[in-house]
Amino acid sequence: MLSREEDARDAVQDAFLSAFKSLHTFDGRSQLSTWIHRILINVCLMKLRSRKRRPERPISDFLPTYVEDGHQTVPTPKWPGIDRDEPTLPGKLSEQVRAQFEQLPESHRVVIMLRDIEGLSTEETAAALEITTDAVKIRLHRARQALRALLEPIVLAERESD
Amino acid sequence: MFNPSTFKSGPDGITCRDVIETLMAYIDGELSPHDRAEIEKHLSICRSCVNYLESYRASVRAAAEAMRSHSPPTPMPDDLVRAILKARNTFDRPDASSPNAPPTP
Repeated sequence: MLSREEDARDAVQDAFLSAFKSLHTFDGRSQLSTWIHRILINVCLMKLRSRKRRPERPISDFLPTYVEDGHQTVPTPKWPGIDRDEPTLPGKLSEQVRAQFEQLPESHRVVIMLRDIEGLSTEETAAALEITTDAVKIRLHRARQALRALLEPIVLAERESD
Repeated sequence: MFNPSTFKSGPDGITCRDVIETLMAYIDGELSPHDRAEIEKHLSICRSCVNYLESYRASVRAAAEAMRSHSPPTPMPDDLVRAILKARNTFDRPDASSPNAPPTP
């Protein structure tokens, strides 16, 4: 979520400290691990808000474009090795997937992290980011579209190299 | 997010833009039966949109797998251990003059 290993370690440390200090407020309705996980997410979000933003490309650079009649400007090719029932990319692409994921604008990357990777609900994500549930849905869809566009050249190049 | 009445269906039915912009709602089962049928009708004749759907789902799954598999085995850092012990001392003995004071026997 924070991209850099040292930032993540700092966040974990801060989260454990925060959890210890407020352990008396833990009411036992959720698992302790879930409670600490939520604290960690909040710590990460605070760190993201406070740190200097790096230059990043706008999300619109990665979204599909259409011709006047509503068809895609460039038809989407079939990705090799995936089908509708089991859409999985080769595991050896993981490092490249992570690198491309970092190219997403932070405001969109964090929504994928919370929804698709950390498993928060739309409502929980909206509360954590202090935005509406509709905004979460829109950002998530755009973030997924952008990630798809970023991964496409890698996946197609992989096919050519096989 | 998605208002079914905004489908801009022409004489040939809905467009690739309609399908792609409502793909998440389609995958999440949030569309009305009518709109779902419209999208599936389009998918039955548009290979490009089928490819988009498959690659969209593959991207979501790939991100989740890549991030979850990225957990390098690092030992618990010393400063984390010290911080936890410090916090525990503070929590157990709130009236202690120093959180680092050794425990009273």
